[in-house]
Amino acid sequence: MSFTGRLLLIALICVAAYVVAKYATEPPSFNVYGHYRAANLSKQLSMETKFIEKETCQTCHQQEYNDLCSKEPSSSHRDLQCEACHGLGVARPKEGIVLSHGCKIPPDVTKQCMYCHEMLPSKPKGMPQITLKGPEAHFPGMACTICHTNTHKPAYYK
Amino acid sequence: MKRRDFIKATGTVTLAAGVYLTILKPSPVNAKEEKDWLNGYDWNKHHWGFGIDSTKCIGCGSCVRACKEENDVPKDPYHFRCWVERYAHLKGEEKLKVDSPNGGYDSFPDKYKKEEVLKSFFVPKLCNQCAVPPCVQVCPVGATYQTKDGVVLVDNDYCIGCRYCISACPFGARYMNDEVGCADKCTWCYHRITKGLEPVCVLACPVEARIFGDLKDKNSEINKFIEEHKIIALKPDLGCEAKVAYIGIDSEVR
Repeated sequence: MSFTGRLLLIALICVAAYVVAKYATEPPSFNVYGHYRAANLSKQLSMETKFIEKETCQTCHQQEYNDLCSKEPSSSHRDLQCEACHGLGVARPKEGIVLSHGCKIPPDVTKQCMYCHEMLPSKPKGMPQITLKGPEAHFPGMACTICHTNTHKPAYYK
Repeated sequence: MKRRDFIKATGTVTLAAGVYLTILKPSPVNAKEEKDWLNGYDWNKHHWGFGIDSTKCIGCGSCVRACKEENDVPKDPYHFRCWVERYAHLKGEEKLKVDSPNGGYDSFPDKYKKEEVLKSFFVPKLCNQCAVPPCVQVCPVGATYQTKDGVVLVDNDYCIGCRYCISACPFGARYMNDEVGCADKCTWCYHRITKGLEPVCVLACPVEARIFGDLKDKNSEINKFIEEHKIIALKPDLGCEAKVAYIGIDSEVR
């Protein structure tokens, strides 16, 4: 065999080895758009969304929705989503039983309120803040809902 | 070997390689294929953008709690897609104090006295979806990639868990999700934004400190935010072109 022939044979073997390796190891959708599997895009796009937004809650909880979104000055929570306090709304099996949805009334209401309203020097000035400690304490030991009965319209109290 | 033979052999090999590469090279994607993989979503029409107004953040941690629920992030104090940091300059102290207990999941403890604080603020953080992402560059298997609409995603079935991306990320936005066995990260809720919804951290924020939108839509919230404010990106010196637009932060925020 001539030198050229041998060189060609070696080149062919290399190419064949590459082709075999490529087809044996590369996932089918690899390199459709780039150096990744396009199949993962389909998976990402079809993932379930869990946060349902307050317009969905409105279909059953009309009164609460009206309170939350009312234009009255007492309704300072109107920019909030229900799920920010009540947890995500998606239906999810729990201990074998499928609950209607995942939302719940926060077990510790005061703690829930204090997530946003605790007095911290890092907070912007306009934020209504209280402290439950020290001389400026705002009714310590009492649940917020005793006075601010409607947490959806919190500034209104009896 | 004669010079003529050598040139002949080289020419043949080059020709063979050329023919092989033109035939087997990934062909340009046609529109039909694109529809198949993207479930009908057109990624050429969007370019997503994110803004953070640090002057509004109250550090309540609603975003952190909502993100962990939506994206099944492990609920321990070490894994976060979205977290909040507190920066504090105290009177008489040269060094800046930074803390983020549990990523801000349970809000922040009342640690500093009002009288001793010179200046303090909260900074919400998330993946910057860099235009030149270092995590994509270092991935040895192509398990992390950039989409055409400007989001960096992770293929969690294909990730081998080598953690290169975690050490490459200059923002600490990546974490090892041991439950899935892959190096996970924030995707700006790609499964939501491609359906026309907003990311959960934006929805959960009670003070609108997080702004999200489509940069290709001239009337979007994010375009207004960028036009109306003087914005900065984190670590511009690294050249990875972080995309989250911040306002109201000090140069100490990295």
